[in-house]
Amino acid sequence: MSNNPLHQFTITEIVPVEIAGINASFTNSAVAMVATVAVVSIFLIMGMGGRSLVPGRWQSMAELSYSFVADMVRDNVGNEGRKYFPIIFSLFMFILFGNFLGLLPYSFTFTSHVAVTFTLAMAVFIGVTLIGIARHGLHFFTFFVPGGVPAVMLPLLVPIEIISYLSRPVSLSIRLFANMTAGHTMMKVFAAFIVPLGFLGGWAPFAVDVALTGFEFLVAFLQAYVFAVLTCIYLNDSIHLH
Amino acid sequence: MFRPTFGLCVEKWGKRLFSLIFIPEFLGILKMSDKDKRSELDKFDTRLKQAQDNSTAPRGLKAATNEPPKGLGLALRCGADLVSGIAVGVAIGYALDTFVFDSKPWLMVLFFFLGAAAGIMNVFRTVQGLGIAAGYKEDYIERAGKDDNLKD
Amino acid sequence: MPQLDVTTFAPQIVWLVITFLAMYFIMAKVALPRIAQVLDERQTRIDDNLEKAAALKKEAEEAAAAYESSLAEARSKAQDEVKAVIDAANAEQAKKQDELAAKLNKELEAAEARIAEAKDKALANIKEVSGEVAKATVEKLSGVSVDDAAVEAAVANAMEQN
Repeated sequence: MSNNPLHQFTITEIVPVEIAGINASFTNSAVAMVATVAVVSIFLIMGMGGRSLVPGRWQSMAELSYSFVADMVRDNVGNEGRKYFPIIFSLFMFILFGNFLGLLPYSFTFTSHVAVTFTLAMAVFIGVTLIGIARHGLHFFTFFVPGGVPAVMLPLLVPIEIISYLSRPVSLSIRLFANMTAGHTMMKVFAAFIVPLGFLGGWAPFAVDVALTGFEFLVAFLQAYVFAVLTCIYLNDSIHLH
Repeated sequence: MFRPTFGLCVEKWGKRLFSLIFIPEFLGILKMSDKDKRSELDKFDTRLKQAQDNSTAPRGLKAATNEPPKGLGLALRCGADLVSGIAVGVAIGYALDTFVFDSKPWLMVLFFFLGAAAGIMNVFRTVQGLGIAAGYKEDYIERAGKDDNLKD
Repeated sequence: MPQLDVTTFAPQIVWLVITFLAMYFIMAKVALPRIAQVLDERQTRIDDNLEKAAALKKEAEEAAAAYESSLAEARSKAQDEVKAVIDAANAEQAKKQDELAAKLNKELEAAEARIAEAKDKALANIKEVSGEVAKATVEKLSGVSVDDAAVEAAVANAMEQN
């Protein structure tokens, strides 16, 4: 184990694979992703195994997650959002459980990698843009023309609006990546102080780490929630335009 | 076996006797139980209405919509918004400079400012709780104005 | 910073796509329909029960209304009956009173007739007696026997004058 607080983010190949000249090795990140999918699937499918009318503990958690995301989609997108509910639910659960599993000791947080978060954000961005264009055709591009503004200002404002629109996937991915990286790095930094400070002094960083762990659970949920909500809001924008 | 039956018998006949002797009171009791029935029905009515409301109301946790985020969430979100606006602006400027116009570094500088403006606009919209939308939206502006009025 | 190591991007993205697609299909095809089914079932069950409860409540209300109306009906019926009885009693009493009055009137009339008859008789007797008394008095006083016819005429004259 290295004492470098960033060492925890290192990607190590487990099974080197190469498909069509692309490095598709099975890495510790891939392990975390597979584990996330497995845990979410087991949680939802096993939890709903009883399909009882009066839910037990696991079943009500599965139902709660369902209605949480369903309410989110309905409140932010409306009834047209029903079609996109599975993808938003998958995104939310994928990120949420990725964040949570990353908090387990010795595990790997794949959401702390900008490649992953940016791919997800770009997928959302491209998908939402395509939905907007498919629904509204060329009218979609009036989205970048602010209403109620003098025409003289438009050459300045339209580029700003376009940059603002293009910055969505960047901010979406950076937010998630930065939050996860910062949290884990901070925990590691404080953890590194525990042993050197000895039996007497080690308690302070240990207490900080305990508090940070609780805080990180909150952040893990919040970031998954923010990602899903922003996806909903972007979807709503491209469906309803203005 | 005998005792409880006997007891029951006594009770039953006692009641009847009682009701026969105190007919006015008995009538009073009847009337009261009548009233009780009505109030019971009313109580049931309110409970039924409540249950119906509960069943039509959305279940689960309420997802907040377009509410201005608070505290740390706000700070983290604003930072990301600002930085990403600048980053996209600089990236576009750099790309145009390098691949299109060969005008290094002027477009990058121009787009840095445009990106900063976009970033600040993003932050402004986030703070105002206007959604993270591109484009000034009439109703958003109206809503913001209303909110200001409310604050005043 | 390991996150910026470009060589690790390809495997991450490849596995992200694989796992996320797997996730999406598992969610969309297996997990979510199950949850939706259970939630729908519960909702319909709850709605059914609520409907049933509402129907029962309506029934109860109807029963209460029927009970009340029958109570009111019975009350009015009873009142009617009491009234009828009272009316009948009143009528009978009136009839009896009338009868009594008629009987009394008859008796009164009979009594009056009797009295009149007695009076006539008495008057006739008075004429006779006063004639005799007058005759006897005249005879005693004057020693003259008076003609009956004259006495009678004098009495009649006196009675006329009275």
